Amino acid sequence: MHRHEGLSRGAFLRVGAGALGGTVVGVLGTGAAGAAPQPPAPQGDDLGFLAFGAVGERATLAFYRTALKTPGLFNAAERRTLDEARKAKRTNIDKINAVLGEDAVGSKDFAFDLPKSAFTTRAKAVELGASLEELLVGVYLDGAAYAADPGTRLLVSRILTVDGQLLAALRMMKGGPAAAGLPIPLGVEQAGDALDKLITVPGSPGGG
Amino acid sequence: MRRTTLAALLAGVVALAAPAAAQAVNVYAATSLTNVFPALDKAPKYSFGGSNTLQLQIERGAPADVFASASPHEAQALFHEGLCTRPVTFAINRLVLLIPNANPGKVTSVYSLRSGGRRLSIGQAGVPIGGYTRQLLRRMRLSSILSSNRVSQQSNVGQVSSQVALGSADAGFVYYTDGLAVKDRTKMLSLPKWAQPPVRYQICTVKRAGVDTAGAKAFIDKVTGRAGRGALKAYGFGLPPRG
Repeated sequence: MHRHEGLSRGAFLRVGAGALGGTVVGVLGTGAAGAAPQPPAPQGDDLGFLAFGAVGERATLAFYRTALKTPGLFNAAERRTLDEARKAKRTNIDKINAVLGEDAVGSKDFAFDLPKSAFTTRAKAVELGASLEELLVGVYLDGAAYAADPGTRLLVSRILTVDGQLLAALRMMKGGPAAAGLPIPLGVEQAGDALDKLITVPGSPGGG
Repeated sequence: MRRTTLAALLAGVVALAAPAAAQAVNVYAATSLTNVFPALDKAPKYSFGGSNTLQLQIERGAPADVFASASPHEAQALFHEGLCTRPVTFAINRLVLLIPNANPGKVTSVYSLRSGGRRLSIGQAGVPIGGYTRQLLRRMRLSSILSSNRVSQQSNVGQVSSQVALGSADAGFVYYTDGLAVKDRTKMLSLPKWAQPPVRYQICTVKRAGVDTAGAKAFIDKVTGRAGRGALKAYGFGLPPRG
């Protein structure tokens, strides 16, 4: 059986950067060279990309934590990669919440019901992780293209770069090529329907 | 002589205290608590309304003893102004899209509203239900439905649910518990969990001259205690963890 033997941090970053290639450069596009980056100031519905990102990042954080806690699924090198991913998720959440301010998504706002069956085999776990990262990457691609505020586009694009790397690493664990191309952009409606199946709101009435 | 004076003083104190003790506690509470609070305790005198309106009335010296708001914002504002004790969360809710049973607008999900042209009822921006609704729509990237539909803005959530129940609106954003209150005439459509803003009710004792502190504390203890949690649950509210 082919097992991915893990990635060094350098390789991890190179793989991801290669996988993302020119797409992110394309969406970042037109800013004047050398101009100071604008701080994010989401306009109107820009908030949707970040709000979805905050919940989705927490879902993937729950995935990496569970994957790391489950004994026997991953070898030492893979566990290092997953731990790097876990740290990257924390950073992403902090960056997004800093912009969301009062709308920040707290650690107790949602609970994540990741299916236990997904952690019975390595392949199933990797599949779940990759599907979650694909949702995030899809929405960030949409945000990088359509957010009205340039600072928000920049933030979304930077997080897209990080999550694209994580997706590439998971694809390599699956035995596929890292540079299999980016997922298609996803609206928050479509991605939200998929994410909703994995989350509950603690204390919410009527099973909501 | 001293004993007589003391007795007279005591009698005076009792006489002054007696009318206050006999008066009902004044509870200012969010409209969405209209059914559950009287069911829990009939004794207080209730004033229900939009939380922002009630906050303003308390700031202007209204004779409230207890304030219960549908979002932390109003109760926390009073606390920071020194006008109420530290608020505690006692109930949780969520947003739903309410449609009339007949569904003349043919609304099957919140996304139906994208096509526009329907009569939509929402809370005003300053009232908690209005704030939550706008927050949810921004998260879902659906703020445009507020311009593509004919929107009527209400000053409290009860008016929104009434409009839908009476068929004056094709859809309205309300709390789950308000939907339950008109379930014979309406249907509730769920909204995505990931986009739900956290709807938290908070309660505090108002700080003002002449406040019935003991009465207010007793009411708040009842709301946050076993009986209150039971009543809130029976009326469809979610509950925060004990403690």
